[in-house]
Amino acid sequence: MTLDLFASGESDNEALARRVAAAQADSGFANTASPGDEWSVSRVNSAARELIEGVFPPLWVVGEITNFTRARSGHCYFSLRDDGSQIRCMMWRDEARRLPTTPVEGMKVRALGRLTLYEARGEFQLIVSELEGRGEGLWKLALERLRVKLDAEGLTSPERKRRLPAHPACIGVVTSASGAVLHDIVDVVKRRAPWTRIILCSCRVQGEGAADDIARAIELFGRAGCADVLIVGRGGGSMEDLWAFNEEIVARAIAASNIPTISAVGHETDVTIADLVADLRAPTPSAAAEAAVPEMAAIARELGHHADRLRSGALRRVDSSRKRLFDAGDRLSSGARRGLQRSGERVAAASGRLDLLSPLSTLRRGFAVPLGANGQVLRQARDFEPGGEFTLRVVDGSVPCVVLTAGNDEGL
Amino acid sequence: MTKQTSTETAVSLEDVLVRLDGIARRIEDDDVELSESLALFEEGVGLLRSAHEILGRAAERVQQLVEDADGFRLERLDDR
Repeated sequence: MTLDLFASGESDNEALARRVAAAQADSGFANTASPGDEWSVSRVNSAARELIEGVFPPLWVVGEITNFTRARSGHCYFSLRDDGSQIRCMMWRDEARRLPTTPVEGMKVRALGRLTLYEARGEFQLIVSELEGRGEGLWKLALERLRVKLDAEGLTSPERKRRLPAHPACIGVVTSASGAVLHDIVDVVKRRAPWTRIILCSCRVQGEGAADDIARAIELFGRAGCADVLIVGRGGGSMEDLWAFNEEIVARAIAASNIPTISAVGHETDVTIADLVADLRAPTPSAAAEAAVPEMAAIARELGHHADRLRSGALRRVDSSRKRLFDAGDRLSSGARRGLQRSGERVAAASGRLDLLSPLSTLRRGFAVPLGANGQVLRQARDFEPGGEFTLRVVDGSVPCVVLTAGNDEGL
Repeated sequence: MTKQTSTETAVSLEDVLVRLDGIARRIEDDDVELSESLALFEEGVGLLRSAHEILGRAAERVQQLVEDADGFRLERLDDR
């Protein structure tokens, strides 16, 4: 009988009073008190409760928090007040558990609740089902409190950050199996470093129980020991959606993990507690993958550099040995000379293999490399003399060849 | 990095590159004897070959780490 009382747009008190009177009449109230009609206290409170609950729809009430207490039972009690009034409020344990943190005294909030009367005490109160700080106040407060706590323990300090492995053989991913995060990471890894293995430990990334799930997945990777680096993350969302990554249990799991961890939570502008504790914060899942694996071209360059060092190192040693023996003049025995020559040949032969290394993948695709007598690559038609011999290097060996006729060296 | 459960038997790229760097440093050292220098060089060539082979490997399918009664197991993650 009540919802339309407010929905109809009647806002002035007189109209409301008329409606309430009608409701009273419906409930059997007499218009005036008579000495013969005595009410027990219980009856009064019960009737008042029914009237209040019957007349008011659920309301969003704005005010300042005061005297917030959480009872041993888990239920929470507080008052909302403004300049002139206050109202007692309570939250049942199940609703109170969803609060990110305890609000501070004087904090401006809005509360969704139903008005009632607590009959045992005759106390008028608002049963609150949702409590929000103005803006994201309560979430920000919870985040700030945890950050201060973790800072004090040193868990967010830059000195704790571990270096990521330069060439991980396997990447562990902690995220939802259904989100785009895994897909983005797989794309980047396939492009940059396809030999890298990817292992997913899927978990819920938002809602009730998500934080426990994420922490469990991180711990599981630690026990399994199968990843060299972890990426923990999810896509963008509201502060509430990302909340699991602001929970203490996730922060502690990351801090305790023996695997270096990259966080990739939400969008570039969202900074979570997980980001502060992780060894590296990536703005997006793709960026996390890029940070986790090297690029193939960079490794190929690195290998080329190693090959140069090896060759020049070995050749330098052969040259210096030759020089020493040469200086020894007549003392140089033919045996030593032969040994030295063999050493030089070993380097030349192995060097020849070095030159062939980088195009190995090309050879595998069916290309071949013609080599001259000294192992030099024959690049142009004029490098081939009629009747001359050369070797064709293919992926699994060499084929001796002879040039039949003079080639045509005119441009293609 | 510990790898109790790694299914790979081959050496990792990291192992190869670390060893290569060690060899390159050693071979540039003036104290190295000729025979050691040649042995290092040949080992280095072998390692370079392994590295290029690793680089040429095709991408593996994504696996999934699952908790079970024995602790954990790896299974294939389908539809990817």
